Amino acid sequence: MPVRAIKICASLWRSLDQEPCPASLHSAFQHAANLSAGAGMLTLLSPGKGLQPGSVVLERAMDFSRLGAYSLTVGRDGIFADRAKLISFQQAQRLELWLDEALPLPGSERPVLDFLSGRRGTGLVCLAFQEVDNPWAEFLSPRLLAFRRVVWTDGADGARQAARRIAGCGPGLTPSSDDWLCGYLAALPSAFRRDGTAALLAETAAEATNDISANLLRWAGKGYFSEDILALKRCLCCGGGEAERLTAMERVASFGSSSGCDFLTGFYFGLLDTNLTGGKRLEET
Amino acid sequence: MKKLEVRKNTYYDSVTLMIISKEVKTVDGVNEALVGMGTDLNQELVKALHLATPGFEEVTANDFFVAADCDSDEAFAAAVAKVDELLSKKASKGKSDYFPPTLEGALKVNPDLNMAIISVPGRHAAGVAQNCLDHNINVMLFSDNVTIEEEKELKENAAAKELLMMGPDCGTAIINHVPLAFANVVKSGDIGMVCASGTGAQEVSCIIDQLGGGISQLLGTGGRDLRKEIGGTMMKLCLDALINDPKTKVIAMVSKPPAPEIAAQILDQAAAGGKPVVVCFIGGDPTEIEKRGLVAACSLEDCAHKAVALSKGETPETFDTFSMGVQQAEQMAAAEVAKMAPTQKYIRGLYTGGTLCDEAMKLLIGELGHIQSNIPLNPEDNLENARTAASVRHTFLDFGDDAFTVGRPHPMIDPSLRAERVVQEASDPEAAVVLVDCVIGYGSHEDPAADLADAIRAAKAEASKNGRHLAVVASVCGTEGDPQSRSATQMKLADAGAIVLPTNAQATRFAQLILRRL
Repeated sequence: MPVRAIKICASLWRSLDQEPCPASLHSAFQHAANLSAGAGMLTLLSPGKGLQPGSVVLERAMDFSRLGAYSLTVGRDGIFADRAKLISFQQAQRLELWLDEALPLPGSERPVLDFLSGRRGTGLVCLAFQEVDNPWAEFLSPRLLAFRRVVWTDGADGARQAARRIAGCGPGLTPSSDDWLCGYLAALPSAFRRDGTAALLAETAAEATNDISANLLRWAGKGYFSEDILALKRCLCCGGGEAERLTAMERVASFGSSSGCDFLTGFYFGLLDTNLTGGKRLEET
Repeated sequence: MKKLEVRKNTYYDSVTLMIISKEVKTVDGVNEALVGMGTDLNQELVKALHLATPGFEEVTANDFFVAADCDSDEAFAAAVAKVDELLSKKASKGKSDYFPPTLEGALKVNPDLNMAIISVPGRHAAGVAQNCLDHNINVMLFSDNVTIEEEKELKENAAAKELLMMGPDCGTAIINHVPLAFANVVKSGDIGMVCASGTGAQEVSCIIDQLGGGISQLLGTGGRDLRKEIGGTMMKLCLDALINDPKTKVIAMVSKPPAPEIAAQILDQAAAGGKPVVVCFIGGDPTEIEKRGLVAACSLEDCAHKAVALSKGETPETFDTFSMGVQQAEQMAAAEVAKMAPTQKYIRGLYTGGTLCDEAMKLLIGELGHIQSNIPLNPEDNLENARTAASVRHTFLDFGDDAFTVGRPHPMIDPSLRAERVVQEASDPEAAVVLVDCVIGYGSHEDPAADLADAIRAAKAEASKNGRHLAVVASVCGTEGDPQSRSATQMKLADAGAIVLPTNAQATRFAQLILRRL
């Protein structure tokens, strides 16, 4: 019996052909695996994980490391191993992971900072408190500051250079600075996506980091984020209750080792800058 | 000194990378270390920390690296070993059951696999087995309903490649100390076994274990292997394997009596092998065996005793008595008979293990003359419709036979049908003794004694209500190491009122003592 997918990124599903196409195992972990398929990457996630852009959440756990032994193909119906169906997409709930247009409420960065205060010592969180407690943070601190300034003032070239100078830095599988950048992009107003700035920043950074991180950055540049991040953004834009907000932040923070907290740190700075500028570039004000 | 370890195109999850980062720095002789993916900026940081070494520029964003400043090469080796230790810990933690959908898929997952256990519907079994043989994989074919022609072809193909083709209907094996299907936790040792009977193999191996001996390999052949049509192909191959196995000092061979010409070939081969061989052709004539200088066993228990004696360098002696001593056994039997009503005359053997049932009947047939059964020793004693028919005079039932297993699991997995029959026999005023087995170990029910004990209590109560005493005699096939535990199983049965003997042969002989007094 094939394993059933319970959720699938709708955008991913639309990008798949009806006729299965060749795929290969890119990387496998205990609770996730990445397949290289066509032009992009498809991520398989164990039950309980929040759906991410380009991913599928499975009904039951699999030993992903074994996938490398098969000739894999991927289509809209599912994933096939040696032509036998291994994972079925047929009953999967297709979720849109598109960030909506809403701006964060004024002061919405505050609860994020409060939350991060309990996570000091993790990744780049120290930067939110004007501290540095590890070599990565020390190295990145001035560069991130420069990046924030450039994003809101300079044109495309400046932004590209700034993104290039922060990409791929940190100890994790997705380097901390990439997570930070994804968080920052999630907080930016939709105007940055509409004019292609977000995509440009993401693409520039993606070119300087590893495949897995690059995949997440590219989705972020187009405005696609995990369902946990979307839930958090909705809370902060629509004024959800404290409990709901805390739960959403906990779920985001639990991603990876420091990735979730690095994302929240970037998100915090993005909210801060958006609220400081009113969501408009400085030359417009 | 600066040292670098690079793993090309290798990804570890962030949690693992963080643990590694932290732990590597704690290794003695490591002054500074940086672990991560080889992105440009991480490389830049490595240089900033003065950890870069020649060749570092070749590291790419998709490579995992460990860069360290160490006191010595040994310190760095220890750091790398620490990394591997942490990674393997993570890998084993993440392991889960995985079922490749095809044989080809399984071979891709593990190209070195060389043993397959096949349990598929009989009509597909031969094809699957042949596919395995084609891939040079030894086969244990648990499935039955394979035609004798198919079996012959499979075994000839296997023998040509010197591969095992155990079965069809092979339920027990221990290969390199790994119990397969219905098998028990026995000690490792120098006694190699080749058996054409499942519970026979279990009984002998368990008694060997109880006597302090151990098993090198236990190979199964399937029950039809020694028939003339098959020619003992697998018995010969297995025998040859054990003769040539340096870890096997003594060989024990267990089977129903083979076709005479096949028996002669097998015995000649065993005699020429140069190792002591104990042969238990259950109920068979020992003459041909002893004529060749081999050791004949009169029961499964005797086979185990003789094999252990030979393993210890002792002279094997026939064991056909009681561990408790004959006198005590006689007294206990007399005490049982004293409580019985005059109508009680017959024995009812209710077995989950087919070979144990067969052995018991063969030990008793000389005195009883006729035993009705669904696996009769003589055709005229066949009990028709055994599942629904009432027992007649002396009756033995093998609940693992097709008559009882259509649409049901094997009674070693689901012993409930046998338990019901135990209670049913109590209402027969002519039933004097109920003889039962209880097989434990891997594959068997997790607590087969529970249902049986309840049934024994109920049966005894029913008989007592009607002014009778029903003797229930039992034996447990298993070891202390089995998940169910032999002693715990024995205790449950004894608490329910059964007289528990150490082996099936002793239980049968004890029942015989009772019958002689009726």
